[in-house]
Amino acid sequence: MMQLKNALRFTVIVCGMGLAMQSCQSNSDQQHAQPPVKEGIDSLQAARIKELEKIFFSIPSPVEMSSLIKEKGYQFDVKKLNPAENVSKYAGEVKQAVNLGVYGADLSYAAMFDQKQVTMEYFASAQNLAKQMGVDGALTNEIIERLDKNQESRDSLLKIVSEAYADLNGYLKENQRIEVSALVVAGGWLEALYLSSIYAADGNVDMRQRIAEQKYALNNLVDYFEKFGEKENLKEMKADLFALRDIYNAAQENKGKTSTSKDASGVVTIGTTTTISIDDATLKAIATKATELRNKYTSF
Amino acid sequence: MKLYKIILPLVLLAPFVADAQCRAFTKNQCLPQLDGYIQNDNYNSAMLVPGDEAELLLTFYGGKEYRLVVCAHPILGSVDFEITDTGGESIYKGNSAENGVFDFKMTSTQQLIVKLRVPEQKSSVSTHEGCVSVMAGSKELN
Repeated sequence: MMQLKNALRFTVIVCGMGLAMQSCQSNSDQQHAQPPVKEGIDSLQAARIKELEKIFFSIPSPVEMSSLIKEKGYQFDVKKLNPAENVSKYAGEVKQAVNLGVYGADLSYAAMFDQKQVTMEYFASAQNLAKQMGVDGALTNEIIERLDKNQESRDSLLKIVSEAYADLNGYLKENQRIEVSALVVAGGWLEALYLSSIYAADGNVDMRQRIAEQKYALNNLVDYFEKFGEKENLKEMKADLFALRDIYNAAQENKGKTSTSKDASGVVTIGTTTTISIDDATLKAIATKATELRNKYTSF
Repeated sequence: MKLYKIILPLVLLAPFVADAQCRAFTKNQCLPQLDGYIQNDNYNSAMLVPGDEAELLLTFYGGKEYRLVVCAHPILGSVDFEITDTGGESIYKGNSAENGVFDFKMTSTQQLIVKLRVPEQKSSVSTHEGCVSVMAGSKELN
């Protein structure tokens, strides 16, 4: 098996992707004699590009979304989170993966508010869930020790939590659990949207704006799920994201222009005249749907 | 022909099957470049070969300071990248070897695209695969 793997690796190295059609098929007679080979390479190259698109995907992390909650002076409320003790009640790959994302968002929220004890408790739940799923290679005990040592610094807590979830994302992609990775990301985003929408209910303009801006992340997430076709384990979340997108279609986006400037130290500032907004009814509909979905996935 | 059918798919998809080293490279060589920023928790690293191109759409929030890092294994040489807005207007051009770290501030929320290209190695007899990683980190504006 190892020899075969090495032989394949050697072929990749010698041919390369960009050179595959040239170096490995330099004989033009051979090309004419075997048109299916070229067609085969074309379709495989297309498949490879599709695989790349599944790896290169990004939406703002729950930390980025929920940082505004802290900035605006709201108080931490553990009752808003999915109870950490529920962790053992989730069965099935979909629920476990989504809740791994939910716990990731919850522990980011706790870390944001310097809640060291809660952060550690939620990390332990996330680790427990990852173990149940057989994907605990990234959420290690070493991270719990790091969290414990860095309790006095909010940035360190956030840094450790974010790096752990990025590494989990990498671990899942590396171990061919890319669909699980998509569900974890969707679960985290959904929980952050749910938490933000609770705080936005008081009419805070900035919180409302942050909810409106989630249209970008949602569209990106929907496009991402579409790349997987009709995968059974993604079907339910895909339908739910589509339903949420239907509500978000009411958000008003006015396309503008991008501007850039440089300050004296050479740092670039990027701005845009593009605006996105939602009215009261849309905000309420988004909050209702986010709550419904969040409750559906966190129930057992 | 049968052998071709079996081996070719494996060859073309091999970079994604064998990227254990890429995760370690990302953690050890790329992540330290985000020092001072909170990492976005998405993982965008893959084994690429010369001639490969990839695109990444990212959302950046207004009122935050960001660092974007394009980090590539030296075996690939210098990986070119360009940051554009969604209309295709160029904002920054760089390469992983010389200026792979881009710091910027956002005044309003916007989506930007990072386009990567691994240059062909025309003079080389063999072609190598290597890890390429795109990382984004944020912090509050001071």
